[in-house]
Order: sequence, then structure tokens, then C-alpha cells
Amino acid sequence: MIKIKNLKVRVEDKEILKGLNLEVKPGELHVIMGPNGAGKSTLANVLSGKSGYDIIDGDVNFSGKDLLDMTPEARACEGLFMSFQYPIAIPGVNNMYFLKASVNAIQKYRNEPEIDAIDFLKMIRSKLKEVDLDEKFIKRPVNEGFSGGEKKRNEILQMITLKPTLSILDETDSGLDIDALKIVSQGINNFRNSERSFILITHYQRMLDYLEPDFIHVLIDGKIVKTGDKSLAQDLEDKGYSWVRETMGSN
Amino acid sequence: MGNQGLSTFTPIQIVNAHLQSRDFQDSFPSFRESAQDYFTKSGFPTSKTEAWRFTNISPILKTKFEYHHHQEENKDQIPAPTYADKCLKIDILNGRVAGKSLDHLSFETEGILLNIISEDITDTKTVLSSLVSSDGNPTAFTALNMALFSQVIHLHIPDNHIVSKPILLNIFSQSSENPVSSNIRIHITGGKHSQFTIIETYSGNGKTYFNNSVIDINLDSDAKLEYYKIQNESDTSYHISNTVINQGKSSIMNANILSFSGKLIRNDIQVDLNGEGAELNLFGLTLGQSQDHIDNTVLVNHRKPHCMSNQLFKNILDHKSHGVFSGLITVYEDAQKTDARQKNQNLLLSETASVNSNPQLEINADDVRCSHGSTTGQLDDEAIFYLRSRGISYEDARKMLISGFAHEIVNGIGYTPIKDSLNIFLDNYLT
Ligand SMILES: Nc1ncnc2c1ncn2[C@@H]1O[C@H](COP(=O)(O)OP(=O)(O)OP(=O)(O)O)[C@@H](O)[C@H]1O
Ligand SMILES: [Mg+2]
Repeated sequence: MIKIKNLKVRVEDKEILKGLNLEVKPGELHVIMGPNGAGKSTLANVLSGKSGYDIIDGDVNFSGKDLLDMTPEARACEGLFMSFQYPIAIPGVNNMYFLKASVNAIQKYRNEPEIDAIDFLKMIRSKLKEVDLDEKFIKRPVNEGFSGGEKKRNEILQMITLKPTLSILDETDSGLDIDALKIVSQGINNFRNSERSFILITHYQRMLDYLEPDFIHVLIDGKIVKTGDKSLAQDLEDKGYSWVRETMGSN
Repeated sequence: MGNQGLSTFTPIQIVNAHLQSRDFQDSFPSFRESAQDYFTKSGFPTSKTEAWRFTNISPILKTKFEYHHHQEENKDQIPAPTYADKCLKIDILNGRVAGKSLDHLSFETEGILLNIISEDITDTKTVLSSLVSSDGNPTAFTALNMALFSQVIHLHIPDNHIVSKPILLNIFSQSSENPVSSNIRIHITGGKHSQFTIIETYSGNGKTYFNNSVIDINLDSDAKLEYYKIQNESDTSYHISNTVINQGKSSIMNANILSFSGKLIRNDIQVDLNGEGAELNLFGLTLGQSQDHIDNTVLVNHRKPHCMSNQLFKNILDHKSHGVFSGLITVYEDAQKTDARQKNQNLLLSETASVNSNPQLEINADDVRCSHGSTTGQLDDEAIFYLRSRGISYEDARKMLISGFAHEIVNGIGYTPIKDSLNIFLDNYLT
């Protein structure tokens, strides 16, 4: 699905990613944990094509193509999706209009027919239920005046509507209340299948109770320094990152 | 059209020539006197004149124009907006009503009093005495208009009258060899409890011309007016308009000033809330491109208690266009419980586009709610990235954000055909 090799990224003369390697196969769910400022969002942003990053080395292969060579929109059309850590509000742009434009841009890229308004509305209504968002949210401007949790649910609504093959979820669990966490996790579980892969960035163990992660990676100082199974998340929760740093030192 | 022998004059030359000629002093005498007074005391503004700091009128003053004081024969149809057949239409060609196309009967049927007063009517004094009031404080261009207009269009909507169709003032400028200058003068009076819609559109044949219009609107108590000024002038044209609005008790005015193109546009808009409980919603949208210069200067005077005014002016400026917003709200001592808002928002689409924004408040009453503010910015890169990360192309993302910026104005337009045509303008502007 995606293969990241020796990725080195600089932001304003500061090296943030320092030779990062990661491979995600179809159907796998990988979790990235790591301290604040380690470079997790930088990785997500670079993968989705945000500008302002200097890629000084490495390459990324996404479904057989050179990901770093594509525009952000081409990446999305090829099946990559990022749920933003801080989704931005877009005044004046209606959420439903935006989502429909998005679906149809991807349809067009794939030489498939546009979805008409009635079918779209039907589809969106059922998706809204999955993330427990009221219909009024798609009639409002994108994310404008949405609460933190509502924004995150709106991101997941977009994910299950656009049906990406690789979803990068940057702290989607932050800001969700206890019930919403459960609903969103169920939404992700329903969406999972043997073709769809996930990179989930999180600080907490709690969402992992609902999902079945295949791997947990620890990202510190621009590199993945430790990889393990689900139990690693629990160890991190108990012992903190200093524990990882110590074991690194002893290596 | 046989314009071979027509002479041309700069505005200053024509003012001097006309004010001295007997013919002109005999027609519309009270107006000509006021104009003469003005020009002997003042004159045209310079770059040092505060109210004209950001708008340089010297190109207008240097241009020699032709002045059409008599009706010319127009063989061709005057272009009109697509929705014209849904309206009561008055075609105005080079400053004068194109009589042939005017369907008087349709106005009569709607109960509207339409009076076109030309200089050859002898009894102009009595006809006009009621209209002169708002010219108490002329500016250079209202004075120029007073000196030069040759026709007054007067529309009166009687008390309790609801006009079902919009009234369309279809103003068209057609220069041939020389640039034409038109001095349009329109007086509109809405009686008590009357309700009506006015659409004032400006366009031209693509050449240089100069429109200097004065629009005078009086709303009696409880009258309700939907007003649109749509400026789609040629990109070598000059346009100066003075719109003076006088609102009576509990009257409502919803106005949209839509400026799509013009080399130099200056809109002076003055609204006097002269009766308790009057309400004004004044919105503006400017789509500037190439070298357009578009200036909206707005004075809102709260003179009586319990009045509400809400202004929102949005400028979208591309290429080397330049926008100006100057706004002054004055709340007079009597005007307790005033609710006055004024907002100017500017979106610059290029490095070379620019804007001057100067919203001001002067409050002389203590129990009021007033706010004003101005923002200027570029397209938000983060927002563009957000849209692109969902598969939307850069071009479409940009369009969505610009339309989003304009949305509040577009959405507020009550008359659907204008909303549709604005969307088409916006589409063309964005491609
Ligand atoms: N545009 C930028 N300019 C300067 N520094 C930046 C920029 N973007 C990121 N950084 C820096 O890069 C580092 C990594 O940031 P990043 O957002 O990737 O961290 P993170 O691992 O996602 O942290 P968190 O857990 O707090 O979300 C931080 O030190 C941050 O300040
Ligand atoms: Mg982050």
C-alpha cells in the first residue's frame, strides 16, 4: 500500500524527519505514538502533500506510484486521505457542496460518472448516522462553529464518504467525548476491510481498545525508534516515553 | 447618428460655457443657480481634498466629452439584462430616456406615476420644487449634474401601493467617435406603506464614456424598497454616482451595490434615517480586475431614535485593481437606541491589487449599539490545502474560496434573476 524509505524532511532549516521508514500493507492498521513535537503531524502533512516542507531525502511509494511527485489533489484521488489534527473552518463554503465537489472530483479522476444530487443526499444521510452527526451540520459552512468533537466527526464523515485506501488519522480521538469515541471507532471498524489501510496517530491507548491495531510504532525525534504489537501501547501508557529513550540508550 | 459636427469639452469647459448661456439658465433655473453658486465658491476636488484622497479624478477632468442634450434617434435596440422582460423597463441612452422603447401603459397599469421632465417643459419650477431639497449640500459632481442634466426621471409610488414587478432603469452608454458624457438624474419617491423594487443597471458599448448620475430616493413612512445598483461599465469608462436616500419612519431599505467593472467608479451613497424605526441594509460587492478603480464612499446619518443600519461591503480585487471603502456613520444626539453596524472585508487575489479602507463612527448619543471594522487578506493557503487534500483541484479550490467570500452578499440578494446573473458574473470573473 505505502512504503516510506529513509524520509528526511526539513522545515525552515530545521530537520524534523530524520530518516523515517515505514511500510503499511493492504488491510493493516498501524498506530504511531510519540511525544509532542516528534514529527507525527509533519509526516501526515508531507504524505498528503502540504507545501512548506523541504524533502531532502527518501522516497515514498504509494500503490506503485511515486507519492511525493503528485499534487495533493492527485494523492486524494489515488486514494489517500488525512484526517487533520486541527481541521480548518471555511466560511461561506457549504459542507454538503464541498463534500459533493470532492466526491465528484475523485469520480472524475477515475473516469467514473458524477453522482447526482438525490443519490448523494441519500448516501450522505446514511453516513451521517454512522458518525452520529445531525443533518444540520452538512448544511453549514465547512467546520464553521463546529465544536472540537464535531470537527473530528466531520473528518470521519469525509473519510467514509470518499472511501480512501489509505487513511491517515492525526489525533482523531482528541476532542471526542466517551460516547463519540466509541461511535467513531465503530465507524472506522465498519469501514475497515482487507483492502483499506490506516495510519493512526494518537497519544492515548483508549481508542485502541475498540480497534485492532496490527502494529504500534514509537516516533521520537523524527524517526521510528520502536515497533511492537498492541501491548506496546499499554507499556507506553504505563511507563512513558522516557522508558523508550532509556531502552534506546542501552542499545 | 450624424455626430460629425459635435464639439467636445472637458467638464470644466462645459460648466463654464453652460452656466453662462441664457438657454440653460432658463431651463431648470433653481438647479442651475445652485450649480453656479457651487462652482463660483468651490470647484472640482483635487488630490488634497480629503473626501477624494484615494480617487484621482484628473483623467475625467482632462477628457473632452460630447454632451447629448437632445434625444437622438436610436435605431438599435439597447442591450438589456436577461430578466428585463420581467420588469417595468426604462431604457436610458446617453443620459436620456429612449422614448420609443418606453411602455408608459405598463407603468400606468401598475399605478406608478412616471414623469419625464425635459427642459422644453415650461412649468419646470413647480414640478421640480419638491425635488430640490436633497441638493442643499452639493458636491462637485452633483453640482456638475445640476448644471448639465437635461431631463429628470421622476417615479412616484403612491401610498399603500405594492408594485408587483421590479422597475428596471437600464442605463446604457454609447460613444461613437468621441467619448460621451451623460448626466442622469432620477428622483424616486415611495409613498406611505408602498413596496417596490428598483434595479439600476449600467453598461456601455465598450468605449470611453463618463456617467455622472444623481439618484434621489425618498421613502415615506413604512415604505419598503429593494434597491440594486449594478455597474457593469466598460473597462475604459468613468462612472460617478451620487445616491441620496432619505428614509421616513419605519421605512425599510435593502440595497445592494454590485460593481463588476469600470475604469473608475466612485459611488457616493448617503442615507439619512430621518424617521423613528427606519431600517437600512446596505450591502456591496466589488469584483475588481485589470486596472479597475472602485470607490464606495458611504455616509449613514442616524438622525432619529430606534433606527437600524447594517452595512457590509466586500471587495474582491485581482490584477492591478484598486478598491476604496470610506464609511462614516454619524449618530446624532436625538438618535437614542441606534443600532448601527458597518463592516468592510477585502480579499486581494494578486500582489498588485490594493485597497484603502477607512470605516469611521461619530457618536453623539449615549444609548446606542454601534460597531465597525475592516479586514483585508489573501486567500487562505491552509483552506486551499484542505480542499485539495479532498481531491479538489487548485483552480476549483480557489474558486470555491472566492465564491465563499462573496457568498454572504450573493445569498442576501432577494431577487432571484439578479442572484443568478451575479453568479454568472462571478463565474466569468473566476475563469
Ligand atoms: N511550519 C513550521 N515552522 C517551524 N517549525 C515547524 C513547522 N511545522 C512543524 N514545525 C516543528 O516541527 C516539529 C514537529 O512538529 P509536528 O507537528 O510534526 O509534531 P507532532 O509530533 O505532531 O506533535 P503533537 O503531538 O504535539 O501533535 C515541532 O517542533 C514543530 O514546532
Ligand atoms: Mg501533531
